[in-house]
Formats: sequence, structure tokens, C-alpha cells
Amino acid sequence: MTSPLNCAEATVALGAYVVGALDPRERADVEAHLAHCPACRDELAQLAPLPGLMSRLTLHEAVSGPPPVDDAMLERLLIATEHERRHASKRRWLAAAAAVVVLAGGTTAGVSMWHSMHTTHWEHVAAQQGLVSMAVDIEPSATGTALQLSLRGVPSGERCRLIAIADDGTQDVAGSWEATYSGTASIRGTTSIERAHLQRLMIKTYDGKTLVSAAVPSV
Amino acid sequence: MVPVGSAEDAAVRMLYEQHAAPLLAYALRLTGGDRGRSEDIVQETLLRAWRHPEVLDPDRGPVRSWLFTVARNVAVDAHRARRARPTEVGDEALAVVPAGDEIEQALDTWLVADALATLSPDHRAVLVETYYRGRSVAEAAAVLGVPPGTVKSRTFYALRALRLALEERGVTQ
Repeated sequence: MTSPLNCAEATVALGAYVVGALDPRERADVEAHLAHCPACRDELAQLAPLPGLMSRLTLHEAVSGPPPVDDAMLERLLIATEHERRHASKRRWLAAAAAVVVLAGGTTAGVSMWHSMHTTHWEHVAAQQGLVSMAVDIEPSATGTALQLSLRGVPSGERCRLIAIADDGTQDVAGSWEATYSGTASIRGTTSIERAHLQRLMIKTYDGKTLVSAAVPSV
Repeated sequence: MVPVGSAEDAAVRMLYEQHAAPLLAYALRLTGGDRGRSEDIVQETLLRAWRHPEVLDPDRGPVRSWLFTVARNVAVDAHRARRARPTEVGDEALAVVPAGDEIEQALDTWLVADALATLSPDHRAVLVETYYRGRSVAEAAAVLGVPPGTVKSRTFYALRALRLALEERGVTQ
């Protein structure tokens, strides 16, 4: 052992002591000081649990930090919640309509009416590519397929088209618009492609770049 | 129809800002680092929280525990769904599926990562060298290009700062 450590020296060495970075001689000096210094033992007690907590992280995690989240994930969440809000208000409206029917025509008619309206078959398709995310409600219609599109993350002012693609490769423009300043769009469109043949929906710019594309499940 | 938008969006943004990062870190552990699947897990978990805002009331219990539990269930469900489709190739098992009592530990893990990230670069660097790389004071001094005395004092103050950051996050042990 070299000359005894004073409290200030010992305290500062406690960090390296608890992470095991002191050489054996310095470690012995610190331990000799701790043996007769309650204040430094208190300080040690404060630091001692830290290595155990730090061991939860790998070297890589400690160096790189928590994984970054990006705006695309937020956009995707925003579009999904917006979509559900719209559906919820639609459901409320249908329930109100059904209530009126109940008053007018009796319970049985009301319930079955509500049931058939409530189970109207809107399918839901969503996709994301980079910052652009889209969600589409799909419903068979008399002339083909009705589409209700929500879009986010499109560069402001970009002119876009919603393209429906059939299983035989036929393409149909189901809607076109110019993105707003906020890069969002909510568009109702139709395509003559029947639901059974609808295979894919794409958002393309007027110069032909595909912004986002979603496969439509086969029925 | 009343336009919906900014106020509702603000609630979603807040939910995202508070919880997306820890959930993503947790999901990455559950999926063995698969970013795409992890983002899906985070999305579904936050959607469920958004649908049930009552769970976000801290008086009802620890919010993040609930979120981590949901994330874990989403991960397990997704994994089972994939396994049920035998034709899919290149599907690995979930790297780690912790039991319920390991969720608290996973929470602490993220909190440690988050606390460590708040340290100054000098403080973080000295802990990476001395603790994570297991270097001695003399070795760390050589790597960092500072005197050994500086490594010692930085290690001490870095640990103090880390302890404080952990206390602020409610980690006491």
C-alpha cells in the first residue's frame, strides 16, 4: 500500500472502483480507506447498484443508445387512428338511423335493418412507403368498387392519382387530386374494376412515380 | 360533419412521443432486432392504447407495464399466426419471449438505456470504456486521450449523473 488516501481522493476513485477499473494496488488503497470511513461507505452504497443496472445493456446498446423512432411511424399511427374515428362516426350514425327505424317499425325490423347496415362490407387496406402512408376502405358497388382513401405524407402540391389494378393487369384511374399543404388527402373514388378482380391499389404522381402501393386481398 | 383533426391528432402525437421509443426498444428485443415486425408491434400496441384511453390513466396502474404487456401479447400472436402458415420461409422464432415477470426487467432495461443517453458524451464514453469494454483506468486514459486522474473523476461523476437520471425515471434499485 502507498500513502493512505484522503476522503476526496477516495471518493473520486469510487466510480472506477465499482466498475472494476482500478488496478489491484489502487483497489487496496480504496478498501483501506473505506474500512474506517463511514461517509465513503455511504457514497459507495449509492453507486454500488449501478453496475447491476448497467449490465442490462449490451455494449452495442450502450454505445448506440435507444433505437430511434421516426416520423413515418407516427404518420402511420395518425392515419390509422383517423381511419378508426371515421368508422366510429359512421357507426354512430347508423345506430341513430336504426333507432329511428325501431320507433317507426317495431323492434324486429329495426334490429335486422341495423344489422344489415352495420355489417355492410367495408374492407380495409393500408400500406406505407417511406413517409407516405395510405389507408383505403373498399366496398363493392353497383358499377365496380367504391374506394375511400386517406393519405398522408405526400409532398405539398404534388398531383397524384389513385390507380386500381385488376388481376388481368388492367389499370384504372380511380381518382386524382393535388396534395394539400399538410400533405394529407381524403378522397372518395370509384373504379369499374369489380371487387373480385381488384388486385392492387397504387398512388402515383403525374410524372409516373409510385408513392405507395397496397395489395388487395383476393376474395 | 364536424371536422376532426388537430386536437385528436395531438392526443395521438402525445401517446406516440411518450411511449413509442420504449416500446420500439422492447419490440426489437422480442423480435431479435427485426425492425419491420417491431414497428408493427408498436403500431398495434399504441392503437390499442388509443382505443382504450382509460388505461393511460396512471391512477389505474403503471401505464408502461400495461403497454409492454400488450406489446408482448401482440408479438406472440403475430408469431403464432406466422407459424400457422407453414409455407412461409425465412421465419425465425421470436428471439426472446420473456415471461410476464420479466416485463418489469425489460422496462428497467429501457430506462437504463434512456438514462444513459442523457449523459454528456464524455460521461457516456468513459462508462463505455471502463464498464462496457472492461478497460482499466490506464487503458481507458490511453483510448480517450486524457490523464488517468480524469478518467477516475469522470467515471465517478458519470455514475452520479446516471444514478440521478435513473432516480428521475423511478428506478431506485
